[in-house]
Amino acid sequence: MNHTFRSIEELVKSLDREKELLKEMFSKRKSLSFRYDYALAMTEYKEERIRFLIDYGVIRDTGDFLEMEDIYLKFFEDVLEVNEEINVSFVQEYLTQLNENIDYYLKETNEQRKYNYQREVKRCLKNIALTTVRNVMDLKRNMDNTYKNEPNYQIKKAKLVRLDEKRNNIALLIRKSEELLDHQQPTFFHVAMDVQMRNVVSDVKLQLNDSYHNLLEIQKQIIHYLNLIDYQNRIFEKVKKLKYLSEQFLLEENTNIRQLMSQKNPVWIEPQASYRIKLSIDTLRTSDEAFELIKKLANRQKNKFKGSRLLAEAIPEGYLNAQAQQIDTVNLQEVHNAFMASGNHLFYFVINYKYRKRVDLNERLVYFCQLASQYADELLFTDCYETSGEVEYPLIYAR
Amino acid sequence: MPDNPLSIMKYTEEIFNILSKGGFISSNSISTQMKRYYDAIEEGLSDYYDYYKGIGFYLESGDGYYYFSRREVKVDLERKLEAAQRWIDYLSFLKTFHSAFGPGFLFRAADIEIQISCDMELKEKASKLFSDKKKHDEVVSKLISELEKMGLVEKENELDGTYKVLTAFHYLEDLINSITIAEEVQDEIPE
Repeated sequence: MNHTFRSIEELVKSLDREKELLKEMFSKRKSLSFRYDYALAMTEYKEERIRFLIDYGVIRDTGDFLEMEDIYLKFFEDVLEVNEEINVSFVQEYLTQLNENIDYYLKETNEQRKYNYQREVKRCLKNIALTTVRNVMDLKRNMDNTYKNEPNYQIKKAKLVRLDEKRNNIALLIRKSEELLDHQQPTFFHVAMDVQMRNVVSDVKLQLNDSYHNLLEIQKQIIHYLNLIDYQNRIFEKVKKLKYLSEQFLLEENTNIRQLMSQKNPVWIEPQASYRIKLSIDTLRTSDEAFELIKKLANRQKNKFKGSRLLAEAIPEGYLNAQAQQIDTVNLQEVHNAFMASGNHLFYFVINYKYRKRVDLNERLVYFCQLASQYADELLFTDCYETSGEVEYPLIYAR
Repeated sequence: MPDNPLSIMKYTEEIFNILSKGGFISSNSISTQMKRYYDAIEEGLSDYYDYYKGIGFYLESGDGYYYFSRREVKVDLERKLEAAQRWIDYLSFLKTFHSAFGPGFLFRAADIEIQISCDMELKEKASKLFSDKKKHDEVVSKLISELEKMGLVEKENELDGTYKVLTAFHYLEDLINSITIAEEVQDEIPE
């Protein structure tokens, strides 16, 4: 680093010019691999701009990579309240400073300088409170993050234990600060206690007290988390062992699983039971709802056979060609109708009827018999018989 | 308050339908229905217990969950041992995926799939989990559906497919805990 910024204005201006690059670098601060080429792209490919930042100690060059200088990194983290390091030493330093300034105040005789020391004391007090509150907040956030996001349980546990130590240190400093305010410097707080100082002191006390309460809560949470991790870990180890035994087919032999499972009859282990419950016939008979359902079912049943029916093959053309056969037959119905309209007895009528074709005697006799049997209901059978040639026949009239 | 417990027990049918199918009811369930059932049981545990006892189901309670068990033996021991071993396999897989896999844990199927593809141990376990499923996504979805069916996990976010592990998961952990390994083999098991 060859140069330093000469004024705040120059610093802010320089930072503003490279805000894109700095923003990107800050968001990638965890990955530790910000390539030089990438940075070039963010500064419109002007190497001198990157060189300028390096010269002024904002970033540093580590071969192919660029890193933000710690002092700026720390500054951004602090201001943006994203720092992960909880630095207890600051408070310790402020305490020392506070004691020193009080000491100077008490020894100083010049009013103006005395006043300056008093102001310094107030600043220290405020800083102690502010840093403590900030530390507590950081601690809480880090604790939750560690528990939720750290996948490796050993690291997780170690980190939480470390956070617990931090918590202890913060608590210690709070107690020290309170002690200092209450007991160690009675002369100073008696002499220098103006209205402003009283406000500052009471504010600081309040903030410290709040922080302390928060710490108690955090302690409980850390213990809870550690217990949970232990519990999960125990289960994990146990499962690993059981799995190992099971893979070696030693599980039943070397554990009490047989006995344990024989005592337990949880329902989840049973095969899925399905309860077959019969329909209530009464309900089916009486309820409208059931009636609707039955209708629906009946409909579905009807539809089921549609489409799935077997279809015969198409009739071959040949069969459809005209192969009309003419068969000459006598329409008995017609004969019967004519007979019913006549006044003669059936035998006479049948023998003498004018058929459309030639009909011999034997056929006429067949028709006589057919008519007599087919239309028996409409005929009146008499007991009188007559003969004609070799044929004996009854006299049958229309009713 | 009415004297007849049946008038207080509002959800006997709903609760029966879940528990009699081998399901669990968890206190940290996302479904408001389930939570209501849980609270109902918690409030009238002895009434519900007596009620279901009458039909042969024993309402058992654990750390944030309820389930049914029986007194009479319905399943032969071999089948029970098989089921227990199956869950040891599942648990071993899930705990290898994340040691904190337990009640309250949130995960997505994709998280497990990614982990399988970059963790040799998990990959090996995944391949042995189901005899008929070998593809990673199939293994994971079958495992999740088994967990879901039992009421051990619930989908918390439909959009990104986040699942939440329910308190009923304690049941499996308790089961594992209650198995004791013989002293003499403790040392023979590699860490």
